[in-house]
Amino acid sequence: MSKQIKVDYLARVEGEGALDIKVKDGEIQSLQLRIFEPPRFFQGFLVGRKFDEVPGIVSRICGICPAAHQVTSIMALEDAMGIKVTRQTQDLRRLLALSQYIQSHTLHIYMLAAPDFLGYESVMAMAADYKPVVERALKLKRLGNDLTACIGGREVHPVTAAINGFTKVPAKKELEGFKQKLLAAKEDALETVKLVNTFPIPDFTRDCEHVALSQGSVYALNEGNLVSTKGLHISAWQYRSHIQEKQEVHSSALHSYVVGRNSFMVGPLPRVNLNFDLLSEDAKKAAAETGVSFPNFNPFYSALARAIELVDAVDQSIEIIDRLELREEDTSFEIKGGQGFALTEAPRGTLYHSYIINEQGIVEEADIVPPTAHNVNNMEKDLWQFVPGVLDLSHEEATLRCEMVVRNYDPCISCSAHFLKLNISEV
Amino acid sequence: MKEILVLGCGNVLASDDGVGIVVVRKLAHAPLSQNTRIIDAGVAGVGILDHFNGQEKAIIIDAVAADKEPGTILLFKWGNLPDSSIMPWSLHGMGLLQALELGYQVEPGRMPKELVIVGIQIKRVDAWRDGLCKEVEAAVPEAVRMVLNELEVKDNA
Repeated sequence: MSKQIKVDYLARVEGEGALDIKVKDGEIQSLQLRIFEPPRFFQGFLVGRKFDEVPGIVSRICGICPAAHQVTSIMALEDAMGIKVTRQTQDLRRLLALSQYIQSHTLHIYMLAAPDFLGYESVMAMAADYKPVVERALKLKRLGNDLTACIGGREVHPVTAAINGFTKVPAKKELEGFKQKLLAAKEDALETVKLVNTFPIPDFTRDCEHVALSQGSVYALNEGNLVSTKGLHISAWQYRSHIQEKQEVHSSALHSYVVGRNSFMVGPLPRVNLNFDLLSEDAKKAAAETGVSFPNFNPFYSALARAIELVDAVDQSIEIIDRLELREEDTSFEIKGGQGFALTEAPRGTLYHSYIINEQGIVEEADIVPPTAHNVNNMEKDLWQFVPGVLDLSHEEATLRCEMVVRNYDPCISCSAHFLKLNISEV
Repeated sequence: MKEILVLGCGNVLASDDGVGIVVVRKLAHAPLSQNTRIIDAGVAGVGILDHFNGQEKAIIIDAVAADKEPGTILLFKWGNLPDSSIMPWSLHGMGLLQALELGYQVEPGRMPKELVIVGIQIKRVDAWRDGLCKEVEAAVPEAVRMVLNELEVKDNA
C-alpha cells in the first residue's frame, strides 16, 4: 500500500510552503517540508540601509512577536558598535520580551493546541463549549498586548526600543498599574497549566538535541550562552562556527544542524528542560503538580512547557515592575563600524541576528535565523519517526496527528500568515 | 468621549499586503477629531480583538483577494460581511473575519457598536518587497477618502 500525505499552506505570501510525505508498505519513501524562510531574503533587503532603519524593518518579519526581532537587531547593532546598555534598559527589554511571551504562548495554547487536543476543528467551535476558557485566553492575550504597548510606546509594533536604551521610558505609575492585572492573571496562568495537563499527550519520545540560551542567575531571554543537552556551550559570536545549514536532497528547505551532530530543537520545551531551576518558584511548583517530569523529550509536551513559561512570565514581570525605578536615560552614542551578534529567546525559540556595518553606519551584511528556521530540520525528523505509527488510523485522525507534530513547534511560517492544512491521499 | 478606532492591517514587507498600513499612515496627517484613534495593527489575526473596548465604531482597512481589478475598493459593514474566502489569510488560520466572529461570540460587550471594513483588492503579495503596485497605490487616496467619509470628516487631506 502506498500513501501520499500532503500539507498545503494557504499562504498570505503566495506560492510557498508544503509538506509531502510518500509512504509505501508502512515505510516513508520521502518526506519534504518546504517552508517559506523569509529572513534569507533579508540580506538584500537590509544591505545598504542605515543601521537605525533596521529595527523598524525587522519588526515586520513576525506578526506575533515583533519586539523579538526588533530587540535582537538592536542588540546585534550595539555589539557591532561596542555599546553597553544600562541595567534599566536590560530590564525593560526583558519586560518587553515577557509581554510577548504572554501574548504568543496564550495564542498558541488556547487558539491552536487546545482545539487540537480537545477535539475541535477551531477555537470558534471550541468556544461554544468552553466560553469561559476562551474568555480567559482573550483576557491574557490582551494583557500581554497592553504591556507591550506600555513599554514599546505604541500598539503592536513598539517604537521606543532603540539603540542604547529607550527613547521614552514608561511612567512608573503606568507600569505599576499593570501589577494588579498581572496578579490577577497569575490565577489564569495557573489554570492554563491545569487545562494543558488535561490534554491527552501521545506517547512519542525522540532523542534529539535541545538548544536554548542559558545564564546562571536568571531564566535566559536576552542574555547568556547558547547551550544544549548534548554539551553545546557557545557565545553569540561563535554561532556560525557551530550552527550551520545544509541543503538536503529530499527537501528544498535549508536544514539547520549543530556542526558534527544533527538537527536540534529550540523553543519552550528546550528552555524548560535546560533552565528548569531558574523558573519562578510558582512555575516550578505548577510544573511539579502536573506529574510530568523534566527534562522531557516528548515534543507534544511543548504546550505544557508554554503554560509553565506563562506562569513564569507573569511572575517575572511582577518582579521587574517592583524593582524598576525608571528614569529617563541618555541614549546618545557614537556610530562605529564593526560586526555584531545577538542571540535571544523569542517565544518560539532561539533567534539569531548578526550585522556588519561600516563607519558611516551603513549595513554591509545581515544574517538572521529565526526559531522556525532552526526547527524545520527537527520537525522533519519528528515526522520521519512519527508517521509510521499513525498509518493505521483513519485519514482524518492521521492528518490531525501529523498537523499536531508540526504545530508543537508553533512554526512562524513567514510568520505573517500561513496556516497549515493537511491532506492525506492514497496513491 | 465616544471613541472611534481606525485599524490598518497587513504587512508592509509583502508589497500590496501592506496597503492597509499605507492608508492609516496617510490618515495620520488628516485633520481628525480627538476621539479618533489610528492604529497600525500589523498582521493582526486574533490580536485585532486586543484593541476593542466597546468603542462606538471601528473602521478596518485591509487587503482582499476578491477577484476584482487590482485597486478596487470594497466596503463592508458588520452584518453584511464578505465570505471569508476573500480574506482567507492570516496567522494560524485565524483570518480577520474569523477573529471578529470569535470576538462577537465570546466578548460581544467589547466589540465596536458599528464595524466597517474597507477592503482593497491586491495584485501581488511578493514577500520582502516594499512598495505597492501602481494600481493599488492609485487606490490609496480613494480609500483614505472613504475612511474620512466614514469618520464624517470633510476631505481636505
